Amino acid sequence: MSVLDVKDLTIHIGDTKSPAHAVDSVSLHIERGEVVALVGESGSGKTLTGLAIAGLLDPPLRRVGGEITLLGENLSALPESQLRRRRGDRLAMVFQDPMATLNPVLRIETQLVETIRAHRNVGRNAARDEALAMLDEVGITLPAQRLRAYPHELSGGMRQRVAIGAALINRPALLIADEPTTALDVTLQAQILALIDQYRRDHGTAVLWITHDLGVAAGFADRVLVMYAGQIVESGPCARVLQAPAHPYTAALLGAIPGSVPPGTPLATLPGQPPGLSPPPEGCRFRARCPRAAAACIAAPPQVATGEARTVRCFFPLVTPP
Amino acid sequence: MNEPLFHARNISQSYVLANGWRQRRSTLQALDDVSLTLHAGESVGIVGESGSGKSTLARIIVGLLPPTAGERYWQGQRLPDGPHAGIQMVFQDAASALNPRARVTELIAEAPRIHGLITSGESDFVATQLNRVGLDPQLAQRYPHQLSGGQRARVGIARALAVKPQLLVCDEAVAALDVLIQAQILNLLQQLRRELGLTLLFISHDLGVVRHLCERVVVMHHGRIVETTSAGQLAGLPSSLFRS
Repeated sequence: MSVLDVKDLTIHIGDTKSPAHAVDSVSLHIERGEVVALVGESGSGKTLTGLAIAGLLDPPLRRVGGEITLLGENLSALPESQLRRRRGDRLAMVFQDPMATLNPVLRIETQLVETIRAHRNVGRNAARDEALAMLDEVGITLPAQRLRAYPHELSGGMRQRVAIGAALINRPALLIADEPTTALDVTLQAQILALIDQYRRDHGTAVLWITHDLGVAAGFADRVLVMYAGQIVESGPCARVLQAPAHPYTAALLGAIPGSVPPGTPLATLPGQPPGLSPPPEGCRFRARCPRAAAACIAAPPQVATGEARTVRCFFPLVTPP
Repeated sequence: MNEPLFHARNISQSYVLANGWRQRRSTLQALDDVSLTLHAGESVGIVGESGSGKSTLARIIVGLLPPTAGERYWQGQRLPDGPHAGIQMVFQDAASALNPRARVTELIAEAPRIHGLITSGESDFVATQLNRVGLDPQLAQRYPHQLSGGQRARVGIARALAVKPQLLVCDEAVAALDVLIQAQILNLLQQLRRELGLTLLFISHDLGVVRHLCERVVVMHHGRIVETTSAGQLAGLPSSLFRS
Protein backbone atom coordinates (compact mmCIF):
# COMPACT_ATOMS: atom_id res chain seq x y z
CA MET A 1 0.00 0.00 0.00
CA SER A 2 1.29 3.43 -0.88
CA VAL A 3 1.71 5.94 1.92
CA LEU A 4 0.10 8.59 -0.24
CA ASP A 5 -2.21 8.12 -3.19
CA VAL A 6 -3.59 11.14 -5.04
CA LYS A 7 -6.13 10.59 -7.82
CA ASP A 8 -7.20 13.27 -10.30
CA LEU A 9 -6.63 16.21 -7.98
CA THR A 10 -8.15 19.34 -9.54
CA ILE A 11 -7.93 22.82 -8.01
CA HIS A 12 -9.67 25.96 -9.17
CA ILE A 13 -8.93 29.55 -8.13
CA GLY A 14 -11.49 32.32 -8.02
CA ASP A 15 -15.18 32.53 -8.85
CA THR A 16 -17.12 29.57 -10.25
CA LYS A 17 -17.91 31.30 -13.58
CA SER A 18 -14.35 31.74 -14.89
CA PRO A 19 -11.99 30.05 -12.46
CA ALA A 20 -8.29 29.53 -13.12
CA HIS A 21 -7.67 25.81 -13.57
CA ALA A 22 -4.54 25.89 -11.41
CA VAL A 23 -4.17 22.13 -10.95
CA ASP A 24 -5.73 19.75 -13.48
CA SER A 25 -6.17 16.02 -12.79
CA VAL A 26 -2.91 15.45 -10.96
CA SER A 27 -2.35 11.87 -9.84
CA LEU A 28 0.63 10.66 -7.86
CA HIS A 29 1.64 8.09 -5.29
CA ILE A 30 4.52 7.85 -2.84
CA GLU A 31 5.76 4.64 -1.25
CA ARG A 32 7.22 4.18 2.21
CA GLY A 33 10.73 5.68 2.43
CA GLU A 34 10.51 7.13 -1.07
CA VAL A 35 11.45 10.70 -2.05
CA VAL A 36 9.40 12.12 -4.92
CA ALA A 37 10.36 15.50 -6.34
CA LEU A 38 7.61 17.69 -7.78
CA VAL A 39 9.37 20.11 -10.12
CA GLY A 40 8.00 23.13 -11.93
CA GLU A 41 8.15 26.89 -12.43
CA SER A 42 6.34 29.50 -10.34
CA GLY A 43 2.65 29.16 -11.07
CA SER A 44 2.84 25.57 -12.32
CA GLY A 45 0.63 24.37 -9.46
CA LYS A 46 3.25 22.43 -7.50
CA THR A 47 2.76 24.33 -4.24
CA LEU A 48 -1.04 24.12 -4.53
CA THR A 49 -0.76 20.36 -4.98
CA GLY A 50 1.24 20.16 -1.74
CA LEU A 51 -1.20 22.41 0.12
CA ALA A 52 -4.17 20.40 -1.11
CA ILE A 53 -2.64 17.13 0.13
CA ALA A 54 -2.20 18.73 3.56
CA GLY A 55 -5.79 20.01 3.40
CA LEU A 56 -4.61 23.62 3.61
CA LEU A 57 -6.50 25.17 0.71
CA ASP A 58 -8.48 28.26 1.69
CA PRO A 59 -10.81 30.29 -0.52
CA PRO A 60 -10.35 31.45 -3.25
CA LEU A 61 -8.56 28.12 -3.71
CA ARG A 62 -10.98 25.21 -4.12
CA ARG A 63 -10.43 21.51 -4.56
CA VAL A 64 -13.13 20.69 -7.09
CA GLY A 65 -12.18 17.09 -7.72
CA GLY A 66 -9.95 14.23 -6.80
CA GLU A 67 -9.25 11.91 -3.94
CA ILE A 68 -6.35 12.03 -1.48
CA THR A 69 -5.61 8.80 0.38
CA LEU A 70 -3.07 8.69 3.21
CA LEU A 71 -2.29 5.26 4.69
CA GLY A 72 -5.55 3.93 3.28
CA GLU A 73 -7.66 6.71 4.73
CA ASN A 74 -9.51 9.06 2.41
CA LEU A 75 -8.44 12.52 3.60
CA SER A 76 -10.61 14.37 1.11
CA ALA A 77 -13.74 13.06 2.85
CA LEU A 78 -12.67 14.09 6.35
CA PRO A 79 -14.09 17.15 8.10
CA GLU A 80 -11.61 19.87 9.09
CA SER A 81 -11.66 18.82 12.78
CA GLN A 82 -10.46 15.32 11.83
CA LEU A 83 -7.96 16.67 9.29
CA ARG A 84 -6.49 18.77 12.05
CA ARG A 85 -5.70 15.59 13.99
CA ARG A 86 -3.78 14.21 10.99
CA ARG A 87 -1.72 17.34 10.26
CA GLY A 88 1.43 17.48 12.35
CA ASP A 89 0.92 13.81 13.17
CA ARG A 90 0.61 11.49 10.18
CA LEU A 91 1.54 14.14 7.68
CA ALA A 92 3.63 17.26 8.18
CA MET A 93 4.74 20.14 6.02
CA VAL A 94 7.86 22.31 5.85
CA PHE A 95 7.78 25.63 4.03
CA GLN A 96 10.36 27.84 2.34
CA ASP A 97 10.37 30.49 5.06
CA PRO A 98 10.80 29.01 8.55
CA MET A 99 9.69 32.30 10.12
CA ALA A 100 6.27 31.67 8.60
CA THR A 101 6.14 28.35 10.46
CA LEU A 102 7.60 29.39 13.80
CA ASN A 103 5.77 31.68 16.20
CA PRO A 104 8.11 34.66 16.77
CA VAL A 105 6.98 35.31 20.35
CA LEU A 106 7.28 31.77 21.71
CA ARG A 107 10.41 29.92 22.76
CA ILE A 108 11.43 26.93 20.62
CA GLU A 109 10.67 24.70 23.60
CA THR A 110 7.09 25.95 23.92
CA GLN A 111 6.44 25.36 20.22
CA LEU A 112 7.90 21.85 20.09
CA VAL A 113 6.28 20.71 23.34
CA GLU A 114 2.94 22.06 22.15
CA THR A 115 3.27 20.15 18.87
CA ILE A 116 3.90 16.89 20.74
CA ARG A 117 1.15 17.34 23.32
CA ALA A 118 -1.43 18.38 20.74
CA HIS A 119 -1.26 14.88 19.25
CA ARG A 120 -0.04 12.53 21.96
CA ASN A 121 -0.75 12.06 25.63
CA VAL A 122 2.77 12.83 26.86
CA GLY A 123 3.78 14.60 30.04
CA ARG A 124 5.41 18.00 29.88
CA ASN A 125 8.83 16.79 30.99
CA ALA A 126 8.81 13.79 28.67
CA ALA A 127 7.80 16.08 25.80
CA ARG A 128 10.63 18.43 26.66
CA ASP A 129 13.10 15.53 26.55
CA GLU A 130 11.73 14.52 23.17
CA ALA A 131 12.08 18.07 21.88
CA LEU A 132 15.68 18.13 23.07
CA ALA A 133 16.42 14.84 21.34
CA MET A 134 14.81 16.09 18.14
CA LEU A 135 16.94 19.28 18.07
CA ASP A 136 19.98 17.07 18.46
CA GLU A 137 18.75 14.80 15.67
CA VAL A 138 18.33 17.68 13.21
CA GLY A 139 21.90 18.74 13.91
CA ILE A 140 21.48 21.73 16.21
CA THR A 141 24.51 22.37 18.41
CA LEU A 142 23.93 23.17 22.08
CA PRO A 143 20.31 21.93 21.87
CA ALA A 144 19.56 22.65 25.54
CA GLN A 145 20.38 26.34 25.01
CA ARG A 146 18.52 26.57 21.69
CA LEU A 147 15.44 25.10 23.31
CA ARG A 148 15.22 28.25 25.45
CA ALA A 149 15.82 30.57 22.48
CA TYR A 150 13.30 32.56 20.46
CA PRO A 151 13.25 32.08 16.66
CA HIS A 152 14.85 35.50 16.00
CA GLU A 153 17.91 34.47 18.01
CA LEU A 154 18.69 31.67 15.55
CA SER A 155 20.35 31.86 12.12
CA GLY A 156 18.36 31.10 8.97
CA GLY A 157 19.78 27.60 8.65
CA MET A 158 19.09 26.83 12.28
CA ARG A 159 15.50 28.09 12.03
CA GLN A 160 14.90 25.79 9.09
CA ARG A 161 16.31 22.88 11.11
CA VAL A 162 13.92 23.74 13.94
CA ALA A 163 11.00 23.91 11.50
CA ILE A 164 11.98 20.50 10.13
CA GLY A 165 12.34 19.18 13.68
CA ALA A 166 8.84 20.43 14.50
CA ALA A 167 7.49 18.72 11.38
CA LEU A 168 9.17 15.40 12.18
CA ILE A 169 8.60 15.33 15.92
CA ASN A 170 5.48 13.16 15.78
CA ARG A 171 7.12 10.77 13.28
CA PRO A 172 4.84 11.52 10.31
CA ALA A 173 4.40 8.92 7.59
CA LEU A 174 4.50 11.69 4.97
CA LEU A 175 6.61 14.85 4.89
CA ILE A 176 5.66 17.52 2.37
CA ALA A 177 8.57 19.92 1.86
CA ASP A 178 7.87 23.05 -0.19
CA GLU A 179 11.19 24.60 -1.29
CA PRO A 180 12.69 24.35 2.20
CA THR A 181 16.24 24.89 0.94
CA THR A 182 15.66 27.61 -1.65
CA ALA A 183 16.50 30.47 0.70
CA LEU A 184 19.60 28.74 2.04
CA ASP A 185 23.10 28.76 0.58
CA VAL A 186 24.63 25.64 -0.97
CA THR A 187 26.37 24.43 2.18
CA LEU A 188 23.24 24.57 4.29
CA GLN A 189 21.18 23.17 1.44
CA ALA A 190 23.43 20.10 1.27
CA GLN A 191 23.21 19.67 5.04
CA ILE A 192 19.41 19.85 5.07
CA LEU A 193 19.14 17.39 2.17
CA ALA A 194 21.47 14.96 3.94
CA LEU A 195 19.43 15.36 7.11
CA ILE A 196 16.10 14.51 5.44
CA ASP A 197 17.72 11.69 3.47
CA GLN A 198 19.06 10.08 6.63
CA TYR A 199 15.75 10.52 8.40
CA ARG A 200 13.70 8.80 5.73
CA ARG A 201 16.18 5.91 5.68
CA ASP A 202 15.92 5.53 9.46
CA HIS A 203 12.15 5.92 9.76
CA GLY A 204 10.72 5.05 6.34
CA THR A 205 9.16 8.49 5.95
CA ALA A 206 7.68 9.19 2.52
CA VAL A 207 8.77 12.61 1.21
CA LEU A 208 7.14 14.90 -1.35
CA TRP A 209 9.84 17.43 -2.23
CA ILE A 210 8.47 20.48 -4.06
CA THR A 211 11.13 22.51 -5.86
CA HIS A 212 11.92 24.53 -8.96
CA ASP A 213 15.51 23.32 -8.85
CA LEU A 214 16.18 20.21 -10.95
CA GLY A 215 19.68 20.12 -9.47
CA VAL A 216 18.26 19.50 -6.01
CA ALA A 217 15.92 16.84 -7.36
CA ALA A 218 18.78 15.14 -9.21
CA GLY A 219 20.91 14.28 -6.23
CA PHE A 220 18.14 13.44 -3.82
CA ALA A 221 14.86 12.14 -5.22
CA ASP A 222 14.00 8.60 -6.29
CA ARG A 223 11.35 9.74 -8.73
CA VAL A 224 10.62 13.12 -10.32
CA LEU A 225 7.30 14.58 -11.49
CA VAL A 226 7.51 17.60 -13.80
CA MET A 227 4.58 20.02 -13.70
CA TYR A 228 3.69 22.59 -16.32
CA ALA A 229 0.63 24.85 -16.28
CA GLY A 230 -1.24 22.69 -13.74
CA GLN A 231 -0.53 19.28 -15.27
CA ILE A 232 2.09 16.62 -14.73
CA VAL A 233 3.83 16.47 -18.11
CA GLU A 234 6.47 13.89 -17.29
CA SER A 235 7.24 11.41 -14.53
CA GLY A 236 9.74 8.68 -13.91
CA PRO A 237 12.85 7.55 -12.06
CA CYS A 238 14.96 10.64 -11.38
CA ALA A 239 18.20 9.52 -12.99
CA ARG A 240 16.49 8.33 -16.20
CA VAL A 241 14.35 11.45 -16.63
CA LEU A 242 17.23 13.86 -16.11
CA GLN A 243 19.57 11.85 -18.32
CA ALA A 244 17.12 11.45 -21.19
CA PRO A 245 14.07 13.71 -20.77
CA ALA A 246 11.02 12.66 -22.77
CA HIS A 247 9.00 15.90 -22.65
CA PRO A 248 10.33 18.95 -24.54
CA TYR A 249 9.61 21.08 -21.45
CA THR A 250 11.81 18.91 -19.21
CA ALA A 251 14.53 19.14 -21.86
CA ALA A 252 14.17 22.96 -21.87
CA LEU A 253 14.50 23.10 -18.07
CA LEU A 254 17.67 21.02 -18.20
CA GLY A 255 19.11 23.10 -21.06
CA ALA A 256 18.65 26.32 -19.10
CA ILE A 257 20.91 25.22 -16.23
CA PRO A 258 24.32 26.93 -16.35
CA GLY A 259 26.89 24.27 -17.01
CA SER A 260 24.83 22.61 -19.73
CA VAL A 261 26.71 24.73 -22.31
CA PRO A 262 30.33 26.00 -22.42
CA PRO A 263 30.84 29.08 -20.20
CA GLY A 264 30.01 32.35 -21.88
CA THR A 265 27.82 30.88 -24.63
CA PRO A 266 24.11 31.65 -24.50
CA LEU A 267 21.92 29.31 -22.46
CA ALA A 268 18.96 27.70 -24.17
CA THR A 269 15.73 29.46 -23.20
CA LEU A 270 12.12 29.19 -24.25
CA PRO A 271 10.15 31.93 -25.98
CA GLY A 272 7.10 33.36 -24.23
CA GLN A 273 5.62 32.58 -20.85
CA PRO A 274 3.42 29.87 -19.36
CA PRO A 275 -0.20 30.24 -20.55
CA GLY A 276 -2.99 31.82 -18.56
CA LEU A 277 -5.23 29.21 -16.94
CA SER A 278 -8.63 30.87 -16.81
CA PRO A 279 -9.50 29.10 -19.00
CA PRO A 280 -6.47 26.97 -19.91
CA PRO A 281 -5.58 26.78 -23.62
CA GLU A 282 -7.07 24.00 -25.71
CA GLY A 283 -4.86 21.05 -26.50
CA CYS A 284 -1.31 20.75 -25.31
CA ARG A 285 -0.60 23.54 -22.82
CA PHE A 286 3.06 23.71 -23.79
CA ARG A 287 2.36 23.97 -27.51
CA ALA A 288 2.92 27.75 -27.90
CA ARG A 289 6.48 27.49 -26.59
CA CYS A 290 7.37 24.06 -27.84
CA PRO A 291 10.07 23.56 -30.49
CA ARG A 292 8.44 20.25 -31.52
CA ALA A 293 4.84 21.46 -31.75
CA ALA A 294 2.85 20.31 -34.78
CA ALA A 295 -0.77 20.33 -35.98
CA ALA A 296 -1.62 17.30 -33.82
CA CYS A 297 -0.89 19.29 -30.65
CA ILE A 298 -4.22 21.12 -30.96
CA ALA A 299 -5.68 18.03 -29.29
CA ALA A 300 -4.80 17.46 -25.64
CA PRO A 301 -2.13 14.77 -25.37
CA PRO A 302 -2.89 12.03 -22.82
CA GLN A 303 -0.39 10.95 -20.21
CA VAL A 304 1.11 7.77 -21.67
CA ALA A 305 3.58 5.26 -20.30
CA THR A 306 6.87 5.05 -22.13
CA GLY A 307 8.33 2.09 -20.31
CA GLU A 308 10.83 2.04 -17.44
CA ALA A 309 8.07 3.27 -15.12
CA ARG A 310 7.97 6.58 -17.00
CA THR A 311 5.04 8.59 -18.33
CA VAL A 312 4.92 11.58 -20.65
CA ARG A 313 2.15 13.92 -21.82
CA CYS A 314 3.29 14.60 -25.37
CA PHE A 315 2.51 13.39 -28.91
CA PHE A 316 6.14 13.80 -29.95
CA PRO A 317 8.27 12.76 -26.97
CA LEU A 318 12.05 12.88 -27.18
CA VAL A 319 12.23 9.31 -25.89
CA THR A 320 10.19 6.78 -27.84
CA PRO A 321 8.62 3.78 -26.13
CA PRO A 322 10.70 0.61 -26.43
CA MET B 1 49.27 47.18 -16.99
CA ASN B 2 46.59 49.81 -17.59
CA GLU B 3 45.11 51.81 -14.77
CA PRO B 4 42.40 49.57 -13.23
CA LEU B 5 38.82 50.76 -13.54
CA PHE B 6 38.15 50.21 -9.86
CA HIS B 7 40.24 49.37 -6.87
CA ALA B 8 39.22 48.73 -3.28
CA ARG B 9 42.14 48.87 -0.88
CA ASN B 10 42.31 47.35 2.60
CA ILE B 11 38.58 47.46 3.20
CA SER B 12 37.44 46.48 6.68
CA GLN B 13 33.97 46.60 8.09
CA SER B 14 32.79 45.77 11.56
CA TYR B 15 29.30 45.77 12.97
CA VAL B 16 28.54 46.36 16.62
CA LEU B 17 26.32 43.67 18.02
CA ALA B 18 24.31 44.26 21.13
CA ASN B 19 23.68 40.84 22.56
CA GLY B 20 20.63 41.92 24.45
CA TRP B 21 19.33 44.54 26.77
CA ARG B 22 22.13 45.95 28.95
CA GLN B 23 24.47 43.22 27.86
CA ARG B 24 28.06 43.74 26.87
CA ARG B 25 28.49 44.75 23.26
CA SER B 26 30.63 42.75 20.90
CA THR B 27 31.79 43.50 17.38
CA LEU B 28 31.49 41.34 14.29
CA GLN B 29 34.29 41.68 11.77
CA ALA B 30 32.27 41.40 8.55
CA LEU B 31 35.23 42.30 6.31
CA ASP B 32 38.85 42.03 7.27
CA ASP B 33 41.40 43.87 5.13
CA VAL B 34 39.92 43.05 1.73
CA SER B 35 41.46 44.44 -1.47
CA LEU B 36 39.96 43.95 -4.92
CA THR B 37 40.96 45.28 -8.34
CA LEU B 38 38.65 45.33 -11.35
CA HIS B 39 39.90 46.03 -14.87
CA ALA B 40 37.66 47.51 -17.55
CA GLY B 41 35.61 44.87 -19.36
CA GLU B 42 36.32 42.13 -16.86
CA SER B 43 33.67 39.83 -15.43
CA VAL B 44 34.49 38.85 -11.87
CA GLY B 45 32.50 36.60 -9.56
CA ILE B 46 32.45 36.63 -5.78
CA VAL B 47 31.40 33.37 -4.14
CA GLY B 48 31.09 32.43 -0.51
CA GLU B 49 28.55 31.14 1.94
CA SER B 50 26.03 33.24 3.86
CA GLY B 51 27.84 35.50 6.28
CA SER B 52 31.15 35.40 4.39
CA GLY B 53 30.91 39.17 3.77
CA LYS B 54 30.20 39.16 0.05
CA SER B 55 27.09 41.32 0.23
CA THR B 56 28.78 43.74 2.63
CA LEU B 57 31.66 44.08 0.16
CA ALA B 58 29.20 44.75 -2.66
CA ARG B 59 27.45 47.48 -0.69
CA ILE B 60 30.78 49.12 0.12
CA ILE B 61 31.96 48.98 -3.52
CA VAL B 62 28.74 50.63 -4.69
CA GLY B 63 28.99 53.22 -1.92
CA LEU B 64 25.81 52.31 -0.05
CA LEU B 65 27.81 51.61 3.09
CA PRO B 66 30.85 53.58 4.27
CA PRO B 67 33.57 51.10 5.30
CA THR B 68 35.07 51.19 8.79
CA ALA B 69 38.49 51.37 7.15
CA GLY B 70 39.91 51.39 3.63
CA GLU B 71 39.55 53.36 0.40
CA ARG B 72 37.91 53.06 -3.00
CA TYR B 73 39.62 54.25 -6.19
CA TRP B 74 37.92 54.94 -9.52
CA GLN B 75 40.31 55.08 -12.48
CA GLY B 76 43.09 55.93 -10.06
CA GLN B 77 41.19 58.68 -8.25
CA ARG B 78 40.20 58.27 -4.60
CA LEU B 79 36.41 58.12 -4.28
CA PRO B 80 34.64 59.96 -1.45
CA ASP B 81 32.08 58.01 0.60
CA GLY B 82 28.73 57.62 -1.11
CA PRO B 83 27.45 56.41 -4.46
CA HIS B 84 29.07 57.10 -7.83
CA ALA B 85 27.14 57.16 -11.11
CA GLY B 86 29.75 54.94 -12.77
CA ILE B 87 29.00 52.09 -10.34
CA GLN B 88 25.47 50.70 -10.24
CA MET B 89 23.89 47.78 -8.50
CA VAL B 90 21.29 45.16 -9.36
CA PHE B 91 19.68 43.74 -6.24
CA GLN B 92 18.54 40.22 -5.45
CA ASP B 93 14.90 40.95 -4.87
CA ALA B 94 13.67 43.26 -7.59
CA ALA B 95 10.26 43.42 -5.92
CA SER B 96 11.66 45.13 -2.84
CA ALA B 97 14.34 47.13 -4.70
CA LEU B 98 11.78 48.95 -6.86
CA ASN B 99 9.58 51.62 -5.31
CA PRO B 100 6.09 50.04 -5.40
CA ARG B 101 4.42 53.43 -5.81
CA ALA B 102 6.42 54.54 -8.85
CA ARG B 103 5.66 53.60 -12.44
CA VAL B 104 8.39 51.91 -14.49
CA THR B 105 9.06 55.12 -16.41
CA GLU B 106 9.75 57.02 -13.19
CA LEU B 107 11.92 54.22 -11.79
CA ILE B 108 14.11 54.32 -14.87
CA ALA B 109 14.15 58.05 -15.66
CA GLU B 110 14.58 59.59 -12.21
CA ALA B 111 18.32 59.12 -11.77
CA PRO B 112 19.40 60.00 -15.34
CA ARG B 113 17.20 63.12 -15.21
CA ILE B 114 19.06 64.29 -12.11
CA HIS B 115 22.39 63.49 -13.73
CA GLY B 116 21.36 65.46 -16.83
CA LEU B 117 21.61 62.43 -19.11
CA ILE B 118 18.20 62.87 -20.76
CA THR B 119 18.73 65.25 -23.66
CA SER B 120 15.65 64.66 -25.80
CA GLY B 121 12.19 63.34 -24.80
CA GLU B 122 11.91 61.35 -21.62
CA SER B 123 9.52 58.76 -23.03
CA ASP B 124 11.94 58.06 -25.90
CA PHE B 125 14.74 57.68 -23.39
CA VAL B 126 12.73 55.21 -21.29
CA ALA B 127 11.66 53.28 -24.41
CA THR B 128 15.31 52.88 -25.44
CA GLN B 129 16.25 51.62 -21.98
CA LEU B 130 13.35 49.14 -21.93
CA ASN B 131 14.14 47.87 -25.44
CA ARG B 132 17.73 47.28 -24.43
CA VAL B 133 16.71 44.83 -21.70
CA GLY B 134 14.17 43.13 -23.95
CA LEU B 135 11.02 44.71 -22.51
CA ASP B 136 8.08 46.14 -24.41
CA PRO B 137 8.12 49.99 -24.04
CA GLN B 138 4.37 49.73 -23.36
CA LEU B 139 5.29 48.51 -19.88
CA ALA B 140 6.56 52.00 -18.97
CA GLN B 141 3.24 52.99 -17.41
CA ARG B 142 2.97 49.87 -15.23
CA TYR B 143 3.69 49.64 -11.52
CA PRO B 144 6.13 46.96 -10.26
CA HIS B 145 3.34 44.76 -8.90
CA GLN B 146 1.85 44.56 -12.40
CA LEU B 147 5.00 42.88 -13.74
CA SER B 148 6.13 39.25 -13.62
CA GLY B 149 9.25 38.28 -11.69
CA GLY B 150 11.35 38.13 -14.86
CA GLN B 151 10.06 41.52 -16.02
CA ARG B 152 10.86 43.06 -12.65
CA ALA B 153 14.40 41.67 -12.82
CA ARG B 154 14.78 43.30 -16.24
CA VAL B 155 13.47 46.63 -14.92
CA GLY B 156 16.03 46.39 -12.11
CA ILE B 157 18.78 45.99 -14.71
CA ALA B 158 17.39 48.78 -16.92
CA ARG B 159 17.26 51.10 -13.89
CA ALA B 160 20.90 50.39 -13.07
CA LEU B 161 22.05 50.86 -16.68
CA ALA B 162 20.08 54.08 -17.28
CA VAL B 163 22.86 56.28 -15.84
CA LYS B 164 25.44 54.66 -18.15
CA PRO B 165 27.57 52.96 -15.51
CA GLN B 166 30.85 51.27 -16.40
CA LEU B 167 30.73 48.87 -13.48
CA LEU B 168 27.63 46.82 -12.75
CA VAL B 169 27.49 45.03 -9.39
CA CYS B 170 24.92 42.21 -9.27
CA ASP B 171 24.18 40.90 -5.78
CA GLU B 172 22.44 37.52 -6.17
CA ALA B 173 20.57 39.08 -9.08
CA VAL B 174 19.22 35.77 -10.39
CA ALA B 175 18.96 33.77 -7.16
CA ALA B 176 15.21 34.18 -6.78
CA LEU B 177 14.32 33.35 -10.39
CA ASP B 178 13.10 30.13 -11.98
CA VAL B 179 15.70 28.36 -14.07
CA LEU B 180 14.21 29.38 -17.45
CA ILE B 181 13.95 33.07 -16.44
CA GLN B 182 17.39 32.87 -14.86
CA ALA B 183 18.78 31.65 -18.19
CA GLN B 184 17.14 34.60 -19.98
CA ILE B 185 18.61 37.10 -17.52
CA LEU B 186 22.09 35.54 -17.69
CA ASN B 187 21.96 35.71 -21.49
CA LEU B 188 20.85 39.35 -21.24
CA LEU B 189 23.74 40.25 -18.92
CA GLN B 190 26.21 38.59 -21.31
CA GLN B 191 24.76 40.46 -24.26
CA LEU B 192 24.74 43.83 -22.47
CA ARG B 193 28.28 43.28 -21.32
CA ARG B 194 29.41 42.80 -24.92
CA GLU B 195 27.34 45.68 -26.32
CA LEU B 196 28.16 48.26 -23.66
CA GLY B 197 31.64 47.09 -22.66
CA LEU B 198 30.45 46.74 -19.07
CA THR B 199 32.60 45.53 -16.24
CA LEU B 200 30.66 43.02 -14.19
CA LEU B 201 31.00 42.08 -10.54
CA PHE B 202 28.69 39.15 -9.94
CA ILE B 203 27.98 37.98 -6.40
CA SER B 204 26.39 34.58 -6.04
CA HIS B 205 26.35 31.46 -3.95
CA ASP B 206 25.65 29.45 -7.11
CA LEU B 207 28.96 28.17 -8.45
CA GLY B 208 27.35 27.04 -11.71
CA VAL B 209 26.10 30.56 -12.50
CA VAL B 210 29.45 32.14 -11.62
CA ARG B 211 31.37 29.63 -13.70
CA HIS B 212 29.10 30.39 -16.62
CA LEU B 213 29.34 34.18 -16.44
CA CYS B 214 32.73 35.08 -14.98
CA GLU B 215 36.35 34.82 -16.06
CA ARG B 216 37.80 35.37 -12.63
CA VAL B 217 36.40 34.25 -9.30
CA VAL B 218 37.10 35.55 -5.83
CA VAL B 219 36.31 33.21 -2.94
CA MET B 220 35.36 34.79 0.39
CA HIS B 221 35.29 33.13 3.76
CA HIS B 222 34.75 34.73 7.17
CA GLY B 223 35.24 38.25 5.80
CA ARG B 224 38.45 37.55 3.93
CA ILE B 225 39.33 36.83 0.33
CA VAL B 226 40.85 33.38 0.63
CA GLU B 227 41.41 32.62 -3.03
CA THR B 228 41.33 34.23 -6.46
CA THR B 229 41.14 31.84 -9.37
CA SER B 230 40.04 31.56 -12.97
CA ALA B 231 36.48 30.36 -13.37
CA GLY B 232 37.66 27.18 -15.10
CA GLN B 233 39.55 26.16 -11.98
CA LEU B 234 36.53 26.66 -9.75
CA ALA B 235 35.53 23.01 -9.87
CA GLY B 236 38.72 22.07 -8.06
CA LEU B 237 38.17 24.40 -5.11
CA PRO B 238 38.84 22.94 -1.71
CA SER B 239 35.41 21.98 -0.51
CA SER B 240 36.33 22.73 3.09
CA LEU B 241 35.70 26.38 2.24
CA PHE B 242 32.07 25.59 1.82
CA ARG B 243 31.68 23.87 5.11
CA SER B 244 31.11 25.84 8.25
